[in-house]
Amino acid sequence: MPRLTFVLLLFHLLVVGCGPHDTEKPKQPEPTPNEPPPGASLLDVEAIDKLLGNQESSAKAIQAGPYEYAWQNFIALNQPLVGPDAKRWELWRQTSTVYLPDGAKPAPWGTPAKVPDEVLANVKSLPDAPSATVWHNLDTRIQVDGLVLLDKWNHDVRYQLLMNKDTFDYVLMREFYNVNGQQRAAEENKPADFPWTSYELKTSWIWIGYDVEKFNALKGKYYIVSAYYQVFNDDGMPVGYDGGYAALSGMHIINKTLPNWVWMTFENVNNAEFTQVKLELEIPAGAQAANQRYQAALRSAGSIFANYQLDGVQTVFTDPGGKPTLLANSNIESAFQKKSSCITCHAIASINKVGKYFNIVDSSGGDLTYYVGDPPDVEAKGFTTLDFVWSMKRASRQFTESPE
Amino acid sequence: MSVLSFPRIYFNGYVAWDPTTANNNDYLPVYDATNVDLDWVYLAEKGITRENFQDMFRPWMIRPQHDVCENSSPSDTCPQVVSDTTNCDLSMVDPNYHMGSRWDYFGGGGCWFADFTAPDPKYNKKTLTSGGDLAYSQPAQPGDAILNKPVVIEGNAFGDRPSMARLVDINPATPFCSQIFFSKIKVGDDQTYLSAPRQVRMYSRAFLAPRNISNKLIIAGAIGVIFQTTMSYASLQIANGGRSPLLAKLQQAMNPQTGARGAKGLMITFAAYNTLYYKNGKYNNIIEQPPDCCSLSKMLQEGKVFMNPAYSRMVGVLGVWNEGELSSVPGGHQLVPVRKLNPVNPPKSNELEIRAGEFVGLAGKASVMFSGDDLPKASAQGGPPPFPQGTTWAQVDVSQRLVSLNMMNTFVEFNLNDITNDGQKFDYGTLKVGVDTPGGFQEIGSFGYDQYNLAAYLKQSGLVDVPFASSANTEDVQNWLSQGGLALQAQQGGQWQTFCQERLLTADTDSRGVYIDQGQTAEFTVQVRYKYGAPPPNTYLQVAQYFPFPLTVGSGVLLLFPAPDSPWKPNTDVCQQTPDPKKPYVSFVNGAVVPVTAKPNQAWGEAVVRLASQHPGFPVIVFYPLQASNQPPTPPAAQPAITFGFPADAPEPYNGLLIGNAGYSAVRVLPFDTKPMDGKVSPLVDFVDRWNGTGPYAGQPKYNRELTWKWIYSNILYVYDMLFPVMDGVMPLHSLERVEGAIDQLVVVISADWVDTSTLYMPVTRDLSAAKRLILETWGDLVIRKYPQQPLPPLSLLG
Repeated sequence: MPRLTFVLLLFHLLVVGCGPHDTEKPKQPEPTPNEPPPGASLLDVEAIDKLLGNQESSAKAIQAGPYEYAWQNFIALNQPLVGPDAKRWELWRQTSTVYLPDGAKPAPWGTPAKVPDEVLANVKSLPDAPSATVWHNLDTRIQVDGLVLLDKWNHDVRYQLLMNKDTFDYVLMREFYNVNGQQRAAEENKPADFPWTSYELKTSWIWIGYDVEKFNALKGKYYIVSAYYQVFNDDGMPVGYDGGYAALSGMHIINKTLPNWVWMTFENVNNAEFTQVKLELEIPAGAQAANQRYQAALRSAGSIFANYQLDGVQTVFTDPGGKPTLLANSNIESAFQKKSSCITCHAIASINKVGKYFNIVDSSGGDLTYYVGDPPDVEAKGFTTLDFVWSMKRASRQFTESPE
Repeated sequence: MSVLSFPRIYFNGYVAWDPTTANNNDYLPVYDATNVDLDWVYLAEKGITRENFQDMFRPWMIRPQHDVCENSSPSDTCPQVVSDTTNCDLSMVDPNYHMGSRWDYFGGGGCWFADFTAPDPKYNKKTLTSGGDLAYSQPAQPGDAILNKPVVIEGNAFGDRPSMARLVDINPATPFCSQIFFSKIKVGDDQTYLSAPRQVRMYSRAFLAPRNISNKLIIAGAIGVIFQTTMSYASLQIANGGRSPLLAKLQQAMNPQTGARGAKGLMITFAAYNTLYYKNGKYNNIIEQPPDCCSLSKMLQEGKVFMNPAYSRMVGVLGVWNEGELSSVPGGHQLVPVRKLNPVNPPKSNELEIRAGEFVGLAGKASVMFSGDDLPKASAQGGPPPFPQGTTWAQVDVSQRLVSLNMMNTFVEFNLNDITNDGQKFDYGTLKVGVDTPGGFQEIGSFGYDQYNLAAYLKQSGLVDVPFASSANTEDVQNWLSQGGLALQAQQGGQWQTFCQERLLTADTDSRGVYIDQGQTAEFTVQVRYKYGAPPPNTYLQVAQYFPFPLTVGSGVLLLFPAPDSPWKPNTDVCQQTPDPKKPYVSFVNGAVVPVTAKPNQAWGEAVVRLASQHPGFPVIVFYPLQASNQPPTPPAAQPAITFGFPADAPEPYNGLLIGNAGYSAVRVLPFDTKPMDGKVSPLVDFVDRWNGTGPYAGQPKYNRELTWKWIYSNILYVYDMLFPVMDGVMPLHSLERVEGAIDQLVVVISADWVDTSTLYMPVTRDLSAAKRLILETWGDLVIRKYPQQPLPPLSLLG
């Protein structure tokens, strides 16, 4: 997933609710990998939280059953699975509040994001629509290949990136929230190294706005939230906001339980109907089996998340036969799914001493495609790694003095 | 020798062309190609200015406009006014109105071999292998595993799938310099196939115009051309899971280790002709299906966005490429037309979809032009006027007692009633192939209409094999060949007359399309042959600089530079415009006459031509091989114009060059954007001033993202934004948000090292100057680095 800007999630934020927690990682009884703790149901979040709270047990769970592990993450992140309350991940930090346009230091964790007055002033209510618990700033529509995806109504699918507290804290500590800080890391040859508890999310959204027809078509099938985005004119200048509702169509989840991170992606099972793309990579048999079990459990629980499927999990660059591993979400890597390797593309996340990011395009042979398999050696080319975190590319420069 | 030897695999089908047509309007000077700019002088007359073009240009382009040169052609004309209420009645068409954008505003430059499955299979449009010969008189079995299989041409990978191959004219205003950029050609299925990566791009060759005389063939429909390329054996991927004897035989013959001496690899040749336009729904699944310009304009005005590709019929051959054979030029002795031919018992003109009268030529890419009675079905007097035929290539295999002729694009055709991709061949009776010796024409063999009619043409893709007549013994043939050149004869008025004759001394090159940037020189090799063998000692190559006429709208003639009879004047009428004689496009670094050298035992000679860029424009460098006895060379001024057909009143036998058989390189000298132009500093300087807030921008904000973007758009991107609206779906060039969002991709696709290779190079039209590329790369660097607040140093092409 080139330049997919995920957000890190601190495991213990998954444990209960969404409030701040200490970062100490209590030792947990080692669960049987790939299985929920004995006696627990698939949706037993307490048991899942315990599993995910320990790096060793998590790593074993990944190795033993990556699809089970991915679903456990998805279940934990989407607590509460039913009801109008915000999900855990919705209370994480949207990158639009971390990488500020002026490169300034972001407000502390827990500071509520300000929703533009223009958005709030134009709120309309739709029948059966959820009330706003969190306003999501869906601040980009451009996929990493520079293209946009359209939904069936020819509106751009939009994207949002989020990070958990430990990720946010690390970004703050290293002053990575602007390009200056990242460039400094290159100048000082100090690569990024996020804590194992880091999480990032990248989410994709079908825009509803206040369109009743779209809302009625998507309700009951998609997780729907209140959202807005800023509108720019052709010269890149902001000209206002669009507000309304949006439907969650996809979610990348990554965490640093493994040194090369763990790459998981979910999407709504109805995407082929409501967007102008379909999933092209085959969902592995193990993932399909996990999907059936978890979707059934979620359906029984009356959760909207029963309509989501795991597309796959990636933890290595190549399979034992040396063949590149692939992972893609139809709504996030739409036009290059069969050349999408999240882990490879993020392995080249790097910046050099003049503040230039490594180009994600593999242009060998006159092709315009993306790296898969073993990544190129960016350090040999004078770049300093950003520890797989391409979301840092969303940072701006901080201008310490106004140009004359 | 080339595809004329055995084994061969034949294929046929259809080629789709999806060029962006806004930059090659044959009737309206919308695009100033020389300077890669919109033609602001012309557009100002239409109320379109630098201030309002973003609102005015595109709507103007999708409406009919009055031609600048009246009565130039009746082809693809529109009503004077088209609105959403217009009833598109053909009787409303005005011969002097054409669409500003022409027929494919949303074209992406793609080309592909058709693979369309129609609801009724009899209307399928497929490109498939159709037959083959393991050897002469040894046709492949119809069930051979490589037969009836798809033939596919692809471009480079974009994301996870192949892009289209690309059709790119060196000069968008001319029809005689088309190129096909591609990445791979694959023949066969998953089990039994031959996959060949590009090594040399293809160029349009051997124009025959008109190839089909139907006046219902609009635009370039009447023109037939040949494309060819080759691949080394080592580069090929071959799988023969189906155990195809034909593929096995070809593989063995192509392999330098197992084939005949000199075998190097694969040669692919195809002829494209009878091009039809407005065929959406019949050759593809596109929902919008305008039948004509009027309907197209209506749909575009309704806001519909769709491509409207044209489709040529195509026949082709896969065969063996041998040492010394040019990749893009058909191999064999080159026989060129010297006399027009009257067919035997032709259909009467009132049965033909042609205009009666005398053929007078082609205006640019326009349809066939006739003088005299211009009623489509004129009086029943006689048949069509006589026409010159096209170029033929020949191989004489004395050991096999066989003459093989490449007649893919030789014979003129007609259509009765409705126009289709398949024209009937005129019947010229029995034809003789032989040798013109000092003692007269010596017949080697003959062949009848049954070997060159439509059925035979489709069966062998235009190749004709003629066995030696029993009267022609091998020694005699060898003796004749030592005395003269090959010729084709037909009976005219009861007399056998030579209508096609071997050009003994030939010169051609694989560097058919050449891009030269400011300050650059280009060097390329021209192959010179005598009777398709080594040239004699003291052979020279003279090169002469031509220009297409007229300069900016549909050009159909090459004139020697400078034009002696048309002194250049600024602001000359577009329809008569010639280049400034003081500003040659290129200079010949090593002179206009260069020696031809041939290594011992080498069947060809070579001359090296070096061009240095002098002034932006579109010169055509024509090759004149000379033997020592011709020294000193003929002064260039004596060279006549080069036309598609025989010039009016040309005496026969005609011995001049035609566009269809001349050896030439079409050159594009890109704009000189480091030099001050029209009283302004160069863009290279101006861009740096803009960013740095210096020069004319002193006092304005420095290092400013928005202002610098406006400079980039209004000086570079705007022209592509206006002419290529298909980019809206990929990277809308007017949107900073979208261009910034694709900056990693942008800086890759404009790479200089992709110009000659990748199908994904941008702009597809390859008209980005070196200076503007440097500016875009510098700006891209600023974007990627998030606009560091530092001054830019002066930019230089010297690095």
